[in-house]
Amino acid sequence: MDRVDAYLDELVSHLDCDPLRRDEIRLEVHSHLRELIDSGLQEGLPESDAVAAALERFGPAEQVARRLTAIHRGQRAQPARVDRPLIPILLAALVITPLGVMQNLSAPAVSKRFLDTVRELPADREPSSLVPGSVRAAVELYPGPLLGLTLLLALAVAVWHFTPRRPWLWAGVASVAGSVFYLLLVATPIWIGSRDFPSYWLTDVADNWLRSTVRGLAWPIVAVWALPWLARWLGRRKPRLPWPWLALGLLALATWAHPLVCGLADFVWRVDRDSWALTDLGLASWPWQLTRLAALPGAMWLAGQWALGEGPGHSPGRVAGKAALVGLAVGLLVTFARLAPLALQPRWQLPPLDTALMCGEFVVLLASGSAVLLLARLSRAGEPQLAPVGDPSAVPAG
Amino acid sequence: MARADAEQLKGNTQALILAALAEGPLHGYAIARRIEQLTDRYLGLNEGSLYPALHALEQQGAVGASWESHGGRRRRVYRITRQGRLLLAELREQWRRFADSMDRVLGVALDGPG
Repeated sequence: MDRVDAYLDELVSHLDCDPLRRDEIRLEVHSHLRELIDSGLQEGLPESDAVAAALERFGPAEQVARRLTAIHRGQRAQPARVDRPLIPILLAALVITPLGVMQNLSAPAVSKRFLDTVRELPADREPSSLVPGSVRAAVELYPGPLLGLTLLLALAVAVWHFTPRRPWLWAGVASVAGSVFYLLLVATPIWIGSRDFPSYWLTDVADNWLRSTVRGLAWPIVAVWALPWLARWLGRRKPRLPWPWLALGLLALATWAHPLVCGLADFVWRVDRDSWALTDLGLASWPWQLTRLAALPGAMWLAGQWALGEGPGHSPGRVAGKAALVGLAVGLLVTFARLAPLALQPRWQLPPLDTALMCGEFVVLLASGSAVLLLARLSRAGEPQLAPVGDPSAVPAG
Repeated sequence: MARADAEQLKGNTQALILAALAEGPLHGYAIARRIEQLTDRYLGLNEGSLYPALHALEQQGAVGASWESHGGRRRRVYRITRQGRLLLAELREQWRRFADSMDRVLGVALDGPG
């Protein structure tokens, strides 16, 4: 198979088009070559002859790549097809973001009444335990940051589409730059009023900001770019056994099911709430957080590929959108898993702040996923209007 | 049987692909085999021409594609769209007129003096 790999490597090295499209072409040609080789073997050819015959049918890799590039470069040369839908998003972001900044700077992210109550707290009490419900906490804590996040999303998506040659690099740069901006957006009002905040409150906000940003922006990127690349690399060695993703998916399910398991264990064995609520589930549980961080993209990709019938070579927007929607579904399940013990056992009180922050993460995930999915749909809807780049020697007119 | 000259096929690749897909969804390998089968291997698409033509048709909206898994192997399966059927009808008509014209010219040449 070395000759096949060498042929494919040469083919893609001469392809000048979107990286995801390049992956897709490689997979497609690889699949076709496998069929030709199998057919040759069935006809009794030795493997080396079957491979040679298959490659001969395709012709020189550079020539095939040149023909394909002519088609796909034509597609890329129609920027209005993809960029037009971005314009309202960017305009909305430009309007909304200053409003978010003003909202954050003019009033703290939490209400005055809430801050007054925090100031009166005994030193050992957690402020979030005062918030009566997760919905209210979400409303009080999230509007400003979410508005600001719109800009990050728009930035990432814009960079993604405006720079077709290296979209992932620039989307990553936009994410990092956006995260720094977001930290400033959230932290500035807190720094302004920091004299009145307990120190652990600041730690919590920073911690949650980090997790939310990483999950909301990085997961779709990881699910779209890194995992398909890794899958392709692994697939060349284990084409029929997606065990790495199965293992990652199971690991993710195990970590996400953890709260529910803890809750049920507590319900059955009457484990004291304090023994798990904040330590096992909460912000201090970094091993769990890191495991989730590592495992969830795998689960998202796996679910996207299996349940939705998508392959690793699909358009980035489509895969990212579907992966994000799968992530959202998992997220809602987890939220339910966290809240279910409350319904079962009223004496427990999950930290509403933590729950609210989780809800916020899922909102971000939904927003980013929906936006890229929408963009992908819009861009596909425009495809039939492309200038035809067809068979260079068309059938002669009659 | 001898195979058709590649030059003869050149302008008709898209028509052949659309005609093969008109019978039902197929992946690239199956399209090439179907055309060979229908013509007793007289017409055979070179794979290096097949994919550029398929992708061009996809861009025009004449075919749609999706990844499917068969026996652990992933294939990109193509389906003809409504637009593709219209294009196929148009290409058929163009071919008829072309073939008629060729027949007339060649017929005159064969039946003529000398």
